Amino acid sequence: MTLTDTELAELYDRYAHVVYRRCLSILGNEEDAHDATQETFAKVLQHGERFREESSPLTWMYRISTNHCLNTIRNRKGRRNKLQVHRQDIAGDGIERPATAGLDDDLVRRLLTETDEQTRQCVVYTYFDDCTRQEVAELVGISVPTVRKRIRTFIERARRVLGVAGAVAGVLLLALLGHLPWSPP
Amino acid sequence: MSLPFPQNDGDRPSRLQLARYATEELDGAERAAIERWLAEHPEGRAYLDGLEAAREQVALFDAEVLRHRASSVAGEPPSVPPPANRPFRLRWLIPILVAALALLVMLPRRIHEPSETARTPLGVRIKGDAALLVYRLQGGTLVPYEGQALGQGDVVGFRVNPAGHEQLVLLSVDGTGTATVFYPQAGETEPPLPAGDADVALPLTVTLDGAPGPEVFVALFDTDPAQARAGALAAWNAGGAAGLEQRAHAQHGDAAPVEKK
Repeated sequence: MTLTDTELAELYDRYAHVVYRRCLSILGNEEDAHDATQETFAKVLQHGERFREESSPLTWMYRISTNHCLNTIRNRKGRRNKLQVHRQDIAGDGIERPATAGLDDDLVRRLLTETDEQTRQCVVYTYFDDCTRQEVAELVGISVPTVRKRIRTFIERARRVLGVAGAVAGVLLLALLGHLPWSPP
Repeated sequence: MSLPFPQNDGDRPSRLQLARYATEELDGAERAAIERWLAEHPEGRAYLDGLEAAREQVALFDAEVLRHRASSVAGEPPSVPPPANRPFRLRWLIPILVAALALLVMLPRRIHEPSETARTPLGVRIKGDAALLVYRLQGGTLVPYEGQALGQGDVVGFRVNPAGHEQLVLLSVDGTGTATVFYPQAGETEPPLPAGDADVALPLTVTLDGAPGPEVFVALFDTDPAQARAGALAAWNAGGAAGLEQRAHAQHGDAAPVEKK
């Protein structure tokens, strides 16, 4: 039996803002967060009967929205390449735009696109939800040691990326300061 | 090198637990434990306040949009009535009805197009209505788009006549049913559109991809991108490009299909 509009409205009133806020922190922009929230409630509708049996509807919604958010992050790069939207000043609008999101979250999102599905889930629950290793293990359906291993691997990868970026920045800085033989006079 | 990566050893409730507390999913003992922790940790209370504040940001509940989305996610056909058992002798009527329907869909545009607008881009409507005008990049200049088939790599630009509206959402739905919001750009807040009846050039262009057409560009006003996108997808699922155009006009917006090679 599917959910009635009244049941759906009650669930939306109780949970939508929480799901939205969480998706916003994972995805970093409002449009995608709204989309993830709508997708989550569409899935609630699809699984109406099974959903009623959930002891924690919010945990179920977290699982669903995690999958959607990870897909969104993975598809973003392709979507940008696909349409190549670029601003071209044909009117001289002079619009000032707000600063971009925090570098740390962006780095985590970027690295999420370069790792396996299980690690992605572990990272989302750990980094964005501050879950304990035990909670992550239950959410993902793996053992606590496996969670630790996945997180450790991810952190090592992040360190390598940051290390390379730091080295490149250092070389550029030295070049700018004229400390390298090929720097311009 | 240290990384700001959290390690919750169970000395604090996770954000999931706090969210379950906020949505009243926890039992008495769990709630009491959270409340004891909250009493000594204002950062936890701030997180809960942030959740509550998100009520103001979340899209309004729309059962119709959710049901459309649920049916399309499931891969089920759009919710159109099942075909009746037609007598075989009436089947010759089908092409005539399709042609008549196509004529009806085209008629409003013909009415809105001024007769002297040989160089007028598609999407122009009678003065006073909000309008979306499409241009294509030709030799470094944006010239009015006049309905020709464009291909991958072609660039289109836009002007809108906001007709008194302040907020714009520009999106497109291509022939595969993929919706993309172009304005405002993700994560950005755009200033209000200028008042008055003048056309406004949007500070963006779109390079078309190889997706099948038509790609219908839609301008909707005074709505948020998520609602606009969900509504556009629902309209497209229900009635294709024509349904999308009708919905845009019904919401005091405008739509302009771009044909693809």
